[in-house]
Amino acid sequence: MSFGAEELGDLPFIQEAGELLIRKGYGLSMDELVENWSEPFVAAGVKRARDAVMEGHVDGSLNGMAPEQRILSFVVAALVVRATGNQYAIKRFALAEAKRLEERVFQRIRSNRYDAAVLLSAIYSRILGMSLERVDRTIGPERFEVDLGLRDYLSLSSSLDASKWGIVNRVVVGGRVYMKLEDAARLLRSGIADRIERRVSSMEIPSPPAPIAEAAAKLSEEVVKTRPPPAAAAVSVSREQYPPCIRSILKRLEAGENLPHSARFLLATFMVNIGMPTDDVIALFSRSPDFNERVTRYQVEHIAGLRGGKRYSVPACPKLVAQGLCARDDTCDDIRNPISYLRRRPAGAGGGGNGGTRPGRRRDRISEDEL
Amino acid sequence: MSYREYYYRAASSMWIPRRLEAREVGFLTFDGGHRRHLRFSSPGELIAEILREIPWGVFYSVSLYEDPGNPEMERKGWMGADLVFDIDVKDLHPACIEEHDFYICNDGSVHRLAERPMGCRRVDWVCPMCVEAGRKEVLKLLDVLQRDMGIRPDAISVYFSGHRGFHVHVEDENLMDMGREARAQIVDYLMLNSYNIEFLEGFLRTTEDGLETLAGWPWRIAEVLRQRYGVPPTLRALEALTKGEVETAISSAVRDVAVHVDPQVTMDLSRIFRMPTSLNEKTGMMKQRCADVVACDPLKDAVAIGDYPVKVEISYAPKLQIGGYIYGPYKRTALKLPAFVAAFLVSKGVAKVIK
Repeated sequence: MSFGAEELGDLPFIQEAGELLIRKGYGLSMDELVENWSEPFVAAGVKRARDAVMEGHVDGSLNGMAPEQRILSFVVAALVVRATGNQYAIKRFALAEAKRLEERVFQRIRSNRYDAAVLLSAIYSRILGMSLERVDRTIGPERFEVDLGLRDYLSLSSSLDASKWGIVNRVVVGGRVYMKLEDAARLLRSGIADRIERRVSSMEIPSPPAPIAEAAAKLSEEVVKTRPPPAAAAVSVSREQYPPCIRSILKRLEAGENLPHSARFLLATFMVNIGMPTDDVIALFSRSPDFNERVTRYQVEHIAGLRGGKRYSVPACPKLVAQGLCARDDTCDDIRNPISYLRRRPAGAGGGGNGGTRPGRRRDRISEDEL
Repeated sequence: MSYREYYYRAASSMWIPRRLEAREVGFLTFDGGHRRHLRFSSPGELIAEILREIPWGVFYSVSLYEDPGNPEMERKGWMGADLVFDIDVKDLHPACIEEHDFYICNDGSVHRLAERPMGCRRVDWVCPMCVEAGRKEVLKLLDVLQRDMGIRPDAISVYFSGHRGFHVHVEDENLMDMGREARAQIVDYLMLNSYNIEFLEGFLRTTEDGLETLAGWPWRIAEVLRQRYGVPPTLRALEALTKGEVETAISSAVRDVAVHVDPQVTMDLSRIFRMPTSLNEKTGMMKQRCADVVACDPLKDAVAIGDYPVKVEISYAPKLQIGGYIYGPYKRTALKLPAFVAAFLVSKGVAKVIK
């Protein structure tokens, strides 16, 4: 299928959306944009950029605008975010925009499942280059509406909670993963965010016109103010002393990767157990593009035993191996838990100071899907 | 000793990994050292080096690299990797292991596994029961790879490791670019490590007809339960038969069907893997293709070294069945044995060649 104007209004980041603007008589040159700076789509676009980056979601009031106005507001928003030159802001924007698309698809699912299946399948193939096939297959009591190739499923689900999205908890037959429409809609998020991020990052604005530069500067300032600098480890253990698995996760976090759930749980339990203050643990996660302070705080405090009373232990090495998080090297010897790494490695510079690194008493386990 | 003779004889029929020029090759040398990050641009070059070095073990990277000879892993330029699985019989805990594996101490004393003596060396033995346990697991793995993952049978090759396990290689262009996490997901699927009991149970909440539509793991679990209880295992039927212990019944079925592979081998993309047709330093047998998994007889087929007589002094050896015959058990004795048997015993560190 080809996307209609209404649909392109929700897919403003693809080429056809630009083509629609041209058909409707909108020029896309920067000068023309600046000339029209008093048009409502501009204000909507600036707000869209701010909402996405700072609030993590795009205001639903956009939905009432005409498709070409929605597209134009996206263009303005993307230019502003790009002009900040801040990769974190771009990631936040991309993620919020992907969530917006997802919400629109969910609305479609609620109104007409057949139409939604056709739309989803088109989004998968035209935007992600993946084949989401419509099926009607009943397996036991469950009825499945779409299936996706295993390889594609794995690449889209990697940052999602394994207890629900891991393939072991899916029906996999003949190299296809069977799903309901709602799952296919949710699964889009990381792939779409990735596309939007790449699209925005690749925009070239050598010298942004004044109104865009101003809006970008304002947004930049707000981002810098709220996003704390990388947390300095406030404990007696220096980063070089962390086990390889933890170092590897920190590296990925700093590279702006959206970590899988299991990796976040490992990092949080490890830091809590070496005595890092809760605020510092939360600050670590603030570098994640999908950071939500309220949720992170709740979860970290839960792990730290500040809520519910029990503190959670660090998952053992065999579990991490199974989750693909183990990065064992020669320095690990035969430790069974990442926390033991600190005990067996003498403190480097300070000599014997391993205060605060005691793993503590035996505690009840929590499954990582609670994080 | 007879490795040289084998490699000269086998030189023209050695298995060579496809796209050899993009693979890292590694040798285990007879002094126990490792030569890694070797790069060969043609099969002839690799074979010439094998004949020059006569390695104790030959390995190749499952990954393809732009610069496989670069000693720094990060600078090799990863381009993708075969999907491989290692089934180690030890992880399957067949009863025979307790019977034939042993500890040998510096004073020459031999102890059963259960005794766990301190400071002694464990010796792993191999018997037909070990092979059968491995074979059964390979068949389970193949079923899941083909039926669930949709991998074509002709993309899969099964090898006896030359010791006490099987290696399964998948060469599917579609799966080459999977990273560590995607491979971890595959392993998790095979081993049913993080399965959600409600997920499996949910599929049994159906009618007898509904059971007929099951697929994937829910289908395998239902089949085990059907055999165990002799009725179509709908949730309702199970609740009555297990007196409410449905979850216990499902967990037990999960243990039956789960495939035991070594997770690290599948996930570790910087690993070098034993090369088929090379000799395994733990036995002197070769890593040998099992074209027909049901019918292959690895303890016979994988014998690679000749059968000319070699005189050895043996400290201790349980019964050994290789090359189609049974040898031993032996205790503090010296005798002439076929070279491949002598090689096995010497590799295990329980015999010495007498000139």
